[in-house]
Amino acid sequence: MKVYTGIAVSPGVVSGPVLVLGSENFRIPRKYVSRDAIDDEVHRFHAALEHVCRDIKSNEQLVSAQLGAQYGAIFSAHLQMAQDPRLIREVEALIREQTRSPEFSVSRVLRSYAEQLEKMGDRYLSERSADIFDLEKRLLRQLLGESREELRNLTEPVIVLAHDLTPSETATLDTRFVLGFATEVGGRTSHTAILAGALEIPAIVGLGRCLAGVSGGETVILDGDNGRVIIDPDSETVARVQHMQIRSEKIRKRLGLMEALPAETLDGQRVTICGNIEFPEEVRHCIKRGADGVGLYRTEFLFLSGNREPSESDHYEAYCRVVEACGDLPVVIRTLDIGADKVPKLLESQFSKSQNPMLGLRSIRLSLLNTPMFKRQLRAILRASVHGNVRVMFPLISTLLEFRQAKMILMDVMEDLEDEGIPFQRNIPIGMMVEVPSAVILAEEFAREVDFFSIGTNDLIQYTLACDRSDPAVANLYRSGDPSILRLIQMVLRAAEKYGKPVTVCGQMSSEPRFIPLLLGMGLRSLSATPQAIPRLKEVVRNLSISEAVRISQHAFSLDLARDVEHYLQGELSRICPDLVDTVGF
Amino acid sequence: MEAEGVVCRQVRVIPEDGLHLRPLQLLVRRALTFSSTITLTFDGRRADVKSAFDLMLLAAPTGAILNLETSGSDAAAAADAISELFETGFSISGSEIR
Repeated sequence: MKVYTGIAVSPGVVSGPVLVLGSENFRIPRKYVSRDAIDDEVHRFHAALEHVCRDIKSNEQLVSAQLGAQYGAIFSAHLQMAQDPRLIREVEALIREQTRSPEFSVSRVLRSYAEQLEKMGDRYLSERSADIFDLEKRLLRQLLGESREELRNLTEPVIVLAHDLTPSETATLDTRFVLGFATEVGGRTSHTAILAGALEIPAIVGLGRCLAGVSGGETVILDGDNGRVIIDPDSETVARVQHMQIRSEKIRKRLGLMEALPAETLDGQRVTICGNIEFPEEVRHCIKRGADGVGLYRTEFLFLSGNREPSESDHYEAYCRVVEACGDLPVVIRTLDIGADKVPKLLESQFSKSQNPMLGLRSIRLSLLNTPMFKRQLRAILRASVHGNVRVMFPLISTLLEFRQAKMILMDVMEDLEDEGIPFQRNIPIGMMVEVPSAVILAEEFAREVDFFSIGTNDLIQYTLACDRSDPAVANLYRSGDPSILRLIQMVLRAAEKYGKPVTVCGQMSSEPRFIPLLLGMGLRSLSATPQAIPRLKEVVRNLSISEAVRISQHAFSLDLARDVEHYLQGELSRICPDLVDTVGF
Repeated sequence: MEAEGVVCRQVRVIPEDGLHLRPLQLLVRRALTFSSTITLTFDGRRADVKSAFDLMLLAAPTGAILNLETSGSDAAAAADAISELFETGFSISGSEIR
């Protein structure tokens, strides 16, 4: 059994035989052609080009129809490249003037473009080199008459393990047979990763070298939730996953029905359930599942994806896509929350190299120190606010002063926009994440100044119990059910109630069905969870009454060990929604 | 129809990322609707506006002043259309982006 870890870009757990696709190095068989064959060779180049254009057009139509026009647009850019007069002229010149083969010429010309773009050090343009290589492969495949047949003629389910998949290969994966895929290379914001999310098949990129040890046909478990690929899993692991899959398939069908139903308890209490997203593309996963909005829009991906700081228009374009897709539904945009676990290259120099980065310069602290960067983001949020129902939220607030400073900078930006005559929503709600115990202790003071709270349980647990959940030696301390955590959440709820401010819980805890009765019983009426969890959460809410939830939370509060609380809640869940137990928490 | 014409103008790159992907796609798409030859010159480099690769490799940064030259039967209309794209900072309506 071998385990590889990469970047999880699309969730879900699948297992099956592996199909290995090595790096596709086309061997160009001949560099020269004979002089009297030149016309034929030029003709062959044009025929290949025509074929590729047809392919791209059908990709575009297919993808637009299945996934939406914004994904199809990736291919209209490809088409523009394939029909580019400069490309055609230069390839023809190489064939005609230097008697080079079409294969060699195509590769030579396109690679020279990619190389020049990469040299410019511009993120936008250097990312295009991946698209240029995609075009090169398409043309070479046509010219050499080769294709990745492996992906075309599938007859049984496989998990694809590849050095790399091009955007076009990803978009045309036959999802009847391809259960999921993982690649050695690639980043979180590559077109391939984005398309995987849109296809809703589990996917992992950036695994690093792993193909060498796999020959194909082995059983593989692909855990898209945690970014893990398990090759040749032991029988115990296989059995666990298979059992889980059979059940979850059954449940998935039933949960599908939940998408159209409101989150309302048996006694008629409506609960707000929003989605947490990171990429603009994910907003459709929320809407599809009948979410009440986006409760947490993480904006880090803009910073993590390149070697250049995102511009105001990068921010603005991304936010507008989310806000417009949501219509009247609320979108809570959280300002930059870069933590120690994900430091973008461009900000690396500003991070403290302390022993204890989780307690160092991160999140709102970094934004407050880097005002121009912070202002750019706030300007974009404010500008986007006129297109829908936007709220702004500051992460990791630990003192009142921090909140006031952040708010003051927001006011400055509003003034600037006003001076420039740029429209924005003046009374945009301003909230904060409650993630640090100090913020809970001062919750009443904060409640006077904020428009809303959102409790981020992941960091709150970590800071309260002083444990790093990624450190296996102490991970057992990290528990959402710890009585101290329940009491902290209760303190926030009470303070907020006193001042009439809404509270949402948006950490991992609110994606876990067993905690829902407890949270509702404590008085919480708003959750924000990963989109995939929304139907499960709705099912719990719809099978529960508030009086029962209150009883459950009262009993949970009488228990004094995290283990007992969680065990009790699990038992209650298996009574309320027996099918949901077991599928949770893998 | 009309007589052959040559039109020369200057345009300025407004988008703060320079001529990145979206402006570039819009330029090519718009240019292809004219029969005239349309070129942009910057820093001694010359780009055919109907070629995405040409425009990419022009590497025109924000604030750059480019020389726009159109020649052909619809030269004036082409010059108007292309300079309009630059003047509006490429923020044209959704229907144009398609």
